[in-house]
Formats: sequence, C-alpha cells, structure tokens
Amino acid sequence: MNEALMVECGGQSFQLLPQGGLYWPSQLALLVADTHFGKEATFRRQNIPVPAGVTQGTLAAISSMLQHLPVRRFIFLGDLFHASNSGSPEVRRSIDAFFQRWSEVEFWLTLGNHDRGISRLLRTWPIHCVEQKDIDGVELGHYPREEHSQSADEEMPLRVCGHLHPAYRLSHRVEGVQKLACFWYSGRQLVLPAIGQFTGTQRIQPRAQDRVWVLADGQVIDVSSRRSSSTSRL
Amino acid sequence: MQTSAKLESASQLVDRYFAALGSKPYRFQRSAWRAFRNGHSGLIHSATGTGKTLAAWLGPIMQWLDENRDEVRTTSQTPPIQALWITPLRALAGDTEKSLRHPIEALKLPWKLESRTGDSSSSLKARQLKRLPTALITTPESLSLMLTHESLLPQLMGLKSVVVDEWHELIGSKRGVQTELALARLRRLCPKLQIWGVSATLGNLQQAASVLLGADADLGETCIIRGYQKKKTHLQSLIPSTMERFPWSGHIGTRMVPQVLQLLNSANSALVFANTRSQTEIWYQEMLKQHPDWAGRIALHHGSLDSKVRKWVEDGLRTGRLRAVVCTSSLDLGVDFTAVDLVIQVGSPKGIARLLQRAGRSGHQRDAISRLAFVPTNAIELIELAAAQTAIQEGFLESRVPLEKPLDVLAQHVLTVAIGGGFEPDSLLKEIRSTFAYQSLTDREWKWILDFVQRGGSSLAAYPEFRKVEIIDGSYRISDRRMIRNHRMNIGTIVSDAAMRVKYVSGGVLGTAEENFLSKLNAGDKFVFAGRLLQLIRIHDDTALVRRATGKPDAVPRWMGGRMPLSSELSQVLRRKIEEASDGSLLGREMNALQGLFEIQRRWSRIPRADQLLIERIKTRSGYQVFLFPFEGRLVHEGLAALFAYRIAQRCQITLSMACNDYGLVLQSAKPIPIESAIEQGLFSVCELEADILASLNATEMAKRQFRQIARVAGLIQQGFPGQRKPARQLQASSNMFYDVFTNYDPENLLLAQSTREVLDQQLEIERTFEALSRIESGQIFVEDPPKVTPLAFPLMVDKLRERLSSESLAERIRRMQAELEKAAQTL
Repeated sequence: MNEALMVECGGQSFQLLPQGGLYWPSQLALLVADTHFGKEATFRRQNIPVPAGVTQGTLAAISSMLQHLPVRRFIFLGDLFHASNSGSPEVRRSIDAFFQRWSEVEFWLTLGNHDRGISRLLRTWPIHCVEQKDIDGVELGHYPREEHSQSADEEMPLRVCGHLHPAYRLSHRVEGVQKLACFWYSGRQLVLPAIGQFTGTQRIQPRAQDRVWVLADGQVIDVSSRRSSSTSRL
Repeated sequence: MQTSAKLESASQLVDRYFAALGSKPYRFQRSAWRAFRNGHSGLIHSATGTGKTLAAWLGPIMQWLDENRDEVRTTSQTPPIQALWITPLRALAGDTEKSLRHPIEALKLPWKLESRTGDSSSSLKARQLKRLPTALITTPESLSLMLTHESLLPQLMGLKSVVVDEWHELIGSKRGVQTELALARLRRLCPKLQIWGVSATLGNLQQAASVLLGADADLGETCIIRGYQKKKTHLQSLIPSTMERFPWSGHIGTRMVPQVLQLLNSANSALVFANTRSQTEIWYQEMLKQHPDWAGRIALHHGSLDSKVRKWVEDGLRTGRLRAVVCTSSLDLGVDFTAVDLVIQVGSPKGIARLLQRAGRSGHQRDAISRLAFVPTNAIELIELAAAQTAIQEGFLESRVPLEKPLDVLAQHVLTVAIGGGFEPDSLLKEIRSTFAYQSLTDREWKWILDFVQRGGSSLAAYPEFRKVEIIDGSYRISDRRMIRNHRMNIGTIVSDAAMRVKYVSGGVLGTAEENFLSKLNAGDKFVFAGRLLQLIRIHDDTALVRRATGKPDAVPRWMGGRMPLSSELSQVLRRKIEEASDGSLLGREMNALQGLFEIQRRWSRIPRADQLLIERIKTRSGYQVFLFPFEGRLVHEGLAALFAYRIAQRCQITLSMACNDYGLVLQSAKPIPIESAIEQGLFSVCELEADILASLNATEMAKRQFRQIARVAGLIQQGFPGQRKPARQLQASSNMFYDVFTNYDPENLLLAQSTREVLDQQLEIERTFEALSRIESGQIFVEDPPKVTPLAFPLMVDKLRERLSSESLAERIRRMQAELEKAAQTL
C-alpha cells in the first residue's frame, strides 16, 4: 500500500488508493464507487461477447485493498450491480466467496441508479442498503449534489460520491496521454473513480481551483493545476 | 454463336444512339461491349470524363437486346433484375441514375431503373423486396443489406451482371473487402454472373481485376480494357515571383492568394483543392477578403459540412453558377462538373494518381484539356510536382494494395449470411476462400470466426449466456428479430470520428465537427467553420450551439486524418529528381526555380543520389540534432524515427525527441548522438524489425485506437452518428473497454491480433519500412557536418510537432507533462 496518496479534503484525511478506492483512516472505512458487478453477463445476454472474469477482476482489486488495510466498515457508493440481469450464476458465486472471505467487515451500499429493481438480488448478501450515509459529518452517497456550487461554501458538509466515472485527459502542446480514471475534488465534493472493470469513463472539465488525481501505472498522481486554466489550448 | 444479324442490330441501335448525340463510340468502348457480349468479365480503366460509364453500361444492355430482340419494342412487361450497378458513394447514386437512364430511354427499353441506398425511402425498399427493378444502383453497404433478406435470393439468382464503379476507391479498404464477399455470394447464387469493374488507372490493374473477380476466376477469361488515352492534361506551377522570400518550409499561408485569384479570373469555374479541411476554411476566408465582390459566387465544400450545404455547392458547380469552390478530397469522386475548366491544387498532392484524378475534374467534356495549377506552400514542394510530372510522363502510377483477410469484416459477413437464409460452414468457407482477400484463410481462423459468432469466442468457458447463431439441422442461422434488426442497422465498415453537430442557436445545422476540437473550446470562443466566423454559445448533448460573430477567430477546427503520406511511387521518383539535381541537371521550371536552394544544399552539405542516404549532424541552440533523409513518406519516417531512437537508446543512456516529414526525420538530444557507432552496430538492420518497432512505439495505444474500427465492424459496438439514437444505456461500451477486457480475459481473441497487424501494415507501412531499410543498408551512407541548418533539414528543424521517445513509463510521462504545464503557467 505504499503507492497510496494521503490527501486532505474538507478537513478530513484520506488515502487515495491506486486501485481506485478511498481509505478513511480515522473511521477505518474503505469506500469504492460504481462496481457494476455482472455488467459482462448483461452484455452476453444481449449477445455481445464480453468474456467472463470482469466481476472477479473487480472483486480481486477490492480484496487487495482490504488485505492491506485495517477496515471495519466498507461502503459501496452505488451502482453495485449493472442491471437486474447481471446476477448470472458465475457472477453470484464469485460475490458469495467475496462476502464469505470478508465476513467480519460491515458492508453498506448507498443506492445508485443501477441498483433499482435488484432488491431481491441484494438480499442474498449481508449489505445494509441506504440512500445516503453520514459519518462524522461527511455525506456519503451515490450521486453528486444537484447543483455544483461555484464557490466552496465552508458551511456545506463534505460529500463523497461516485456516479460520474470521472476521467481526465492530460495534454500539453502536442503531447497527450489517454484519458485516465481519476479522483476529482470540486466544491466540497470528492468524486471517486469507477472501480468496476469494463465500466468506461466520462471526461471531466475541472475548474482552476479543483483538484484532480489520476490513476496510472499502479500509482495515484496529482495533476491539479495550481495556477490559471488547466485545460491546455490548441 | 449468335447470328450476325442479331449482333449487328444491337450495335446499330447503339451507333444510332451515339449518332443522335453527335458522336460515335470509342474503340475501347466497342472492345468492352464485345468482351461483355462474349461472356467475359473484366475491368475498364481510363481517365475521368472519357466514356467509361457507357463502356460498362451498354454491355448489359446490348446483351439483353441480343437475347430479346424480338420483344424489345412490343413488350410492356418490365424484365426481371438483370444488372446491378455498385457505386461507392451514395451521394452519387442520383447522378449515376441520370446517366444510366439516358440510354435506356433513348433506346426505348422496357427496363426499370431504380436506386437502393441508405437514402432510399422505406416504401421503395419494401416494394423492391417484392420485385427488384431490371437494373438497380446500390452501394456496397446496401448490397450487403440486401443479402440479409432471404426472400431476395431467388430474384438475385436471375442476375446477369454486376458493374462496380470507381473500383479504385474501394480496393484497399474494408469496403472493398465487403464488396468482394458480397460478390462471392452473388457468384454462388448465379454461377454465370459477369462482373465488371470501372476504375481510374492504377499501378496494379491486373491485381485490381483479380481482387474484383475472385481467386477462382479464370484469368484467360478476364479482360482489362484500357480506355481513351489521349486526354490532355496541362500542369503548371505557380512559382512565387521572388524565390528568395519563399520559405524553405512551413506553410506559406495565404501569400499566394493574389496569384491564385488572378488565375481564377481566367477560368469559368474552378475547384481549389486543399489537403485539409482547416486549410479550406482559411483559403476561403482569405479569398473572400481579397475579392469581397465574389461573395455568393465562391463556396466551400468539405466532408464536415451539412449535406444540404454540400448539395447546394454541388448544384452550383453543375450549373456553373459558382466561380470557384475550395474543397478537400470530398470532391475527388464522381459527379461531372462540366463547367469546371480549372483545378488548383494547394500544397503537396502526395500522390501521382491523385494529382491526375484531380486534374481530370476539369475539362470533363470529350476532347477538352484538363488544366491543373499547382500552388506550392513551400519551396521543397516544387520538387514533388516535378517528380509527379515525370511519373505521369512515364505512366508510373500508384498501386492500391488490397487488404488481406480482415476478420472483423468476415465476422460481419458471416452474420449477414446467417440472417439471409443461413449457411453450412463447409460450403460457406469454400465461397469465402474464393475471394481474393480470404484465399489464404486458415482452418484455425475459420474455426475462430464460427466460434465468435456462435459462442462469443473460442474459449469454452469465457462466454456463458452468449448465443447469437443457432445451428438448426447443420445450418447456422439467426432468427431473433431484435438481433436481425441490430445487425442490419450496423452493416458497413465506415467509422466516423466522434462528431458533434454545429448548429445556430436560431436553428439551422451547419455541419459536424470533431468532438475533440469542440470540447477544447470554451463558451464565447470564436472559431471558423463552414466559411463563417462563429461564436460558441454552449454545448448541449451532442450539439454545439453557435451564433455568427465578428472579429478574429481563436481557433480553426482541426480534423483528424489529414495526414496522408507521400506515396511510395512518388517518393521513388522524388529520389530520382533529387539525384538529377545531384548530378547538376535541373529539368523543368520547378527544378530550375530551386537552383539557388540546391546550390546552398550542395555547398553546406550534399545532395544525395537515389542510392545514398544523407545524414546531417549539427548542434543548435536546442541541442544536438541528427537529420536523416530517406525520402520515404511520413508514415515510414515515423516508424523509422521511433525505431532509430529506440535502437540508439538501447545502447547508451540518452533521451531523444524526434520529428518527421515526408522527406526525412530528425533526432534531437541534449548530448551528442553517437550516430556513427550506432550505424556500425546495425542501426539500419532489418533483423528484429517488427519486434523493435512494436517495442519502440507506444504500440498498445496505437492498437487501441485501431481497434475502434474493428470493434465497430465486428459488431461489438454500435455506430453512433450525431443525432442518431444510441444503444440502450445499459449496453454502452467503448472500443477501449473491449480492448482492455479482451486483453485481460480472452487474450487469444483474434481481433486483438488483427489490430496490431493493422497498425503495422497500415499505420506504419512496415513493408515499405523494410524495403527502405534494405535499400539504405545496401547503399552508401554519408554523414555530413554542415555549417548551418541546410535547406533540406530546415523544415524538420522548425517542426514543432516533436514527439518524445516514450522510454518513460506512463506515470513518468504524466509527471513530466504536469511539471511542464506548471512551468508554462508560471511564465504567463
């Protein structure tokens, strides 16, 4: 876990993990967003060939974080499953094994848009499902706030969320790298990258005062612009 | 053998038809008709505007007359489908229909002629499914689509002939392969089918004919008919009055506009070709500025403009209403603009055939002269025109290299056949191997394709729940309605870049621009598009809302794909022209204009002969530079630059950056580059070439980009055109995601290997690279130390598009770029 990056956001200390999870040491809590379990199975049901192994890969990434950190509470920030037909037998078996292995951890899910209509599926595993969870004055939920406030209002509570699958493309003059999944802190809100494999990303357009950390080569790299506009022009 | 009375009669009718037009058939047209009526297949090639269409079209008509003479005038019944006419551009179908209809009406045939393209109405298409017209004009995509309708197959069995128009445009592309597969299917349905291609002249006509007719074709029965050769072409260059001020490199910008305007005054109507869409925008603006009274009489045409705008421009050209149209390759094809009597080419034409074809867009009437004026954008481009002229005199034209067994196209076709009546694997394999593209398809590849469409992939366990093709009594079929509909919607091989519509706030679509460009703009930014200065108001979904603006633009859209390399053939002649200069003989106006430049090059360094490689070494303020001049075209140089940098960096600790153009490449470093010892240690060796190139470039990123088309053709992702409905939200995935997921969980997927292959073959032209290295190794190498940057090196010197060799990891690159960005921000 030496590649984790310590950051301060909204008065709290977090570790940004290169797998895409967020560790909150003071609460012994681990957070991930947008796992989209079983997405590959949903595609295959529509006869689009996506090989098996994606869900297992996502679970392995999560386990590798749990393995190295003392975790009491684990929060899925929504979109646990991709769709109601994502729970194929082979996907369920892997998830069973995951919950058995980490039976001492307390699991929470803040419901996301993809989690509608899968309550039957969810009952299979020991997960507390809520719309939003507040810990130590920090709001945890799937969605970002409706209105992205322009100025960081000190009165506003810190919010940690997912949903956006944020990614950032760094470019300078003619050089550019592919867009990379990132953590994005903007207006007292910390958005986590989607941890699910085969989930895709959405390019963000951060403002000058925002902070952005990309995931690359098993590292978390700060690419926030400290001055002026961060988007380079032609 | 038919009786001569009958033969004469069809010929007489045709002679009368020509006489009524005030002319008579060319000899090559008669040869084509004779060959057709004797049952042959073949290829007709000639310059544009010399009667190719009639040469191909009257064959099927005369054959029908031969066989049906007695009823010709009497019958009121429309004969069943006889002929298919395949055109690569659906926008051309209307014009083609007009020219094919003319003889049908003049000869009073009871034929019904219709088109079937993406633009046809659904009621027409439905009617055609019940009964096809006598002759049908269609595109490769619509033809494949027709093959998904089982009910059409019995009708298609009566087909006598297929003509593929503009075959040179299709061969060498996946659309060409798609056409090959469809033709194989038709040959199977009607074994006596005659297939004819119509093409511009190519360097590999024999091969082009083989590709069209299939691997099983009897070459003795194949005719290659050479068209009217006497078409006169007049090429001239606009040489700046003061050569001294003419830049050695870069872009002269629009300084030549006054000379061009002067020339336009001498023409009725002209096409001004520029190599990129952004260039067309710039030239159009500047021409209007200098000649404001031409507003409304000059126009702009490129592929990103709205189809209505393009149509307006095309109509204007047809009627002669427009004096000049600034365009890109969007006007390379098809439509006859009879009023056009001058073509202007701005910047390098990159290829000989391309230059000739563009020239042929003027003087479209029989016996008229094609006029082309070349506007160099820097001094060295004049050598290119000189080389092109020499090549034209020698009849040395480019070849179009056909693609070899792209599996994505095959996967799509197999599904097409599975929908259109089903197939038995063995007999379909035989049919597929009868095409040129798939003649060497291995059993293993075929097995993979069958697994891919049936189970999702070759790995038994990897794709549970997947069931696309079912096997019913040994026949592979698809019966699911939704799957059929999906497949039909996604037939084709054309992939457009993610694009956004550009639309006025007040309504009215201007066209589409790349999302990449538009997303870099901020609200309020001004940019030039569709010949207008616009201001971005906001971006909403996939539409950029704009309004007219005044003042100066902040940006001109840059579209991808404007980086065509110098053709291999033109490069070859270019090396010879430089050798002539090396020998002190400057032939022609262009080469003479460059006398001063060559003099300096010789004095400071040397002018290489064709079998010599010139290397120049110089230290400038920005570091140590080594220039190499293989004259092989940009793509090859990109591969070579990365290869050289990689091989040098393997042997010593060094960081190199590089740049390339069509003539050569430069390596730059903060410390001296040990070029001589590198050469001794095999810098130019062809050993391990492929492995070294893949290791030297960011091959994964390139393969990922290439995978976009493959994923789309193989049906993994669905094409999203702007304004068209997207696949269900739950099923959205990008080709990058597929690339990654296959790499991780099904690395044996042959589509991955295809992607790497395409990068090597198409993006890096590995074969040309191999030949270039062999040539360098067997020739002489000169390392010079010129006192100053030479004329040949100068363009590379000032090229800002430097790439760095990524021996750095991704994380290192990001950290470095971030540091550079911060430094740049601090100096603001």
